[in-house]
Amino acid sequence: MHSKTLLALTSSALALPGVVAVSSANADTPPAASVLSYRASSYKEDDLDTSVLLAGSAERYDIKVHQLRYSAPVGEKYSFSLDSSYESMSGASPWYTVESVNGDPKVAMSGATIYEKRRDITAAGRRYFDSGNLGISLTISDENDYRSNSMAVDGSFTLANNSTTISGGASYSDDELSPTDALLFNRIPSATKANSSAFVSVTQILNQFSIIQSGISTARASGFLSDPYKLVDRRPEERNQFTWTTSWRRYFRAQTSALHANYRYYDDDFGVSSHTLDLSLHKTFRRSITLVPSLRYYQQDAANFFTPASDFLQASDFNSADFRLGGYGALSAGLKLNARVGKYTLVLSGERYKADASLGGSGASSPGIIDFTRLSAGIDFTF
Amino acid sequence: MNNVVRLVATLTLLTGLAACEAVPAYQRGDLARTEMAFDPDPLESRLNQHIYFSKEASTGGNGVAAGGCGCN
Amino acid sequence: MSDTRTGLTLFDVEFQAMGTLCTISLYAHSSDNARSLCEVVIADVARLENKYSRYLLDSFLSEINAVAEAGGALTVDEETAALLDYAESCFVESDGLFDITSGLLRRAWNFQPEGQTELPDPEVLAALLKRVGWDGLDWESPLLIFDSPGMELDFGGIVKEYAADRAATLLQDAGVKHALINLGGDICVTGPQHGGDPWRVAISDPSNPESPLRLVALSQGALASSGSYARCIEIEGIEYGHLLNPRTGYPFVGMAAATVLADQCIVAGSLATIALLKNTEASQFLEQMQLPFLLIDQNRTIFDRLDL
Repeated sequence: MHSKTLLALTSSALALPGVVAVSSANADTPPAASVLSYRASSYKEDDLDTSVLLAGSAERYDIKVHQLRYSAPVGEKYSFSLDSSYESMSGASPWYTVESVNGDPKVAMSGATIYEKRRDITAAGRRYFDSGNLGISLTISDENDYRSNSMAVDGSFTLANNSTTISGGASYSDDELSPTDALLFNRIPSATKANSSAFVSVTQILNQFSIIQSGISTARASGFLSDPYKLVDRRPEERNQFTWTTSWRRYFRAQTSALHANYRYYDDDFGVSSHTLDLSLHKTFRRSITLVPSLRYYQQDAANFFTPASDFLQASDFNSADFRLGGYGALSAGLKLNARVGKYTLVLSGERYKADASLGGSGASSPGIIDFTRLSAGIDFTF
Repeated sequence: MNNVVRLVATLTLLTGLAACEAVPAYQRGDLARTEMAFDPDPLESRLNQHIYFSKEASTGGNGVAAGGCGCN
Repeated sequence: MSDTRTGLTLFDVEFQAMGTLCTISLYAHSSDNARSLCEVVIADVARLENKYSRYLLDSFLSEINAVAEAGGALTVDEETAALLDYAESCFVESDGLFDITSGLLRRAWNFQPEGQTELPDPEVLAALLKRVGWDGLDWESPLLIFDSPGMELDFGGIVKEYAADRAATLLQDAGVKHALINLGGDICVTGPQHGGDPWRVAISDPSNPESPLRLVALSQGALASSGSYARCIEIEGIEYGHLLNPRTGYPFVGMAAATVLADQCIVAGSLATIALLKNTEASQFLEQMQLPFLLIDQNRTIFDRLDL
């Protein structure tokens, strides 16, 4: 509650000729400074449990990622950003799953480890108006067996009350696959896929410490949606997806901490539906060090056509034993440290993720679900 | 279940959030802190979205998509 | 501090006005460019001084006070009407402590250093108190009516802060987005410094004006202070500040000082003054405003809420 005295004096003051209201702290202007950021990350999945390994290598993905980002205001009304990343990946992936003698599914992994590199780049621009902004971005992702070109537009508009913002956007992506060793393994030699999506969301300032955002999005993927590297994988040629996300931010002065809570509901016509909840606390010490512990819980229900063992006999039109379409839950915990030293900010973070059928999700699950560890280190330079 | 959730979601968006106060500009200092941003670390969220997209069946909920890749 | 990319340098333009040193800090291409951008502000501050100064016999305030002295009525312009409305809301919100008719009580006191050694004659004070009080006049915009003679208005507590707020608007209208206006301690900014860093304002120790007590980062809005500083007196061993209680005619015992941050300089200044007029309730009053403030009370206790 504001002081009645302050409101009375302020309103009398604003009636004085030449005295104006200060523009909102959340006015639509480009960021004040330019930032150059670099992150190096290491992502490593735990080896497949040998008790469920049928054949091939138990070593799963080991990925190193380098990210570079440059963002800057351009004049008083525009901003520009460039994001690029370089990934190098090695490791084996599940090829097919069979039911073993006692009924438990076992995974046959690809034998030789795959060495792959992927590069992507996104260029984006934004134009700021008095009560809103409009942005556009273009992305290219390139690896030896997959190429994606996409474009997205989005905009925001803040209402006259200066507390409610409505945002929306749409994106389109055009992808081309050319699986390696197609002839050797009888894979489709080339295929295409298209993705389009749109979202709308509302952001509302609740009080001086608290802000909430809620939005819905829909997406459609069409074309070749199956995984060409699985021995048996037949997915529909269309997938319609829906999400509802709500995010809340709350500042606690006494603890100099900001609480972040995000919830996402997802469902699609493959039969997958999921819930994601992630919480993090951003605590600042001495104004230049921030520690962020975080927790994420995820749970998904199996796709309609998912079976733990690959369907070799073509018993149904659609089938996949891909662990990512099974029913399971995952819990992950993370920690990040930010330290600002002059114009530089150093970042160190890590996350440990464990997935298991016992953690949630309905429907059968694959023995191939993963656990992983991610470590990142980086630096930001503000100028 | 799915349709009920969709309906509730759409209604939530359309309904005004009645419990909010008008916050004058001089009281917006805390809301403007970097740690209060919806996306305080764009590189980390980009990486996380890429990882979860590759390893889980769900995507989206983060505004517009940043392009596809062969990892799913 | 020069930004070679855009060719803008920080300049401090100084001028004398309202009995104090004034500075405008702003980013410009050259010192001539800086000076010319400030012309409009310097002119407006001079205009307000000429209009409301109690020391200039041909100011509009002197004209009002001539009518007040004799009793009678006069019509005022829009700007004066708005200032009287503002003064009235201060009177109401402070339960009658902030009163622009209380300047008359000054005549019983001499706040120069070594100027006064004895308490004033109670009869003299009583006579003055009879002629003090906002309720003694009739403010029916735009008509100002003095029912009884011998009153006096003093805009000194609000004009300098009002000038600072106007200065910020004038500079913003001229396209200056990164400027700080300092009129003898009443400060208003048009925005942060060029490049996004806030301005750093030093609040000095009331008992030692040369030493800075606290540094405040200001990116928007204003800062104003009220307090005794050098103008306190000692009578019969007791220290008194210079703010007079309009009900008793006496200053408060001890030196207190308050600095408040608000969107408008005039609001910041009035709140700082009202807080000190509330004496022992100063900290509660300022806490209720939920604005950043620094209060040093009579017992030298420091209430530091500047990090709000």
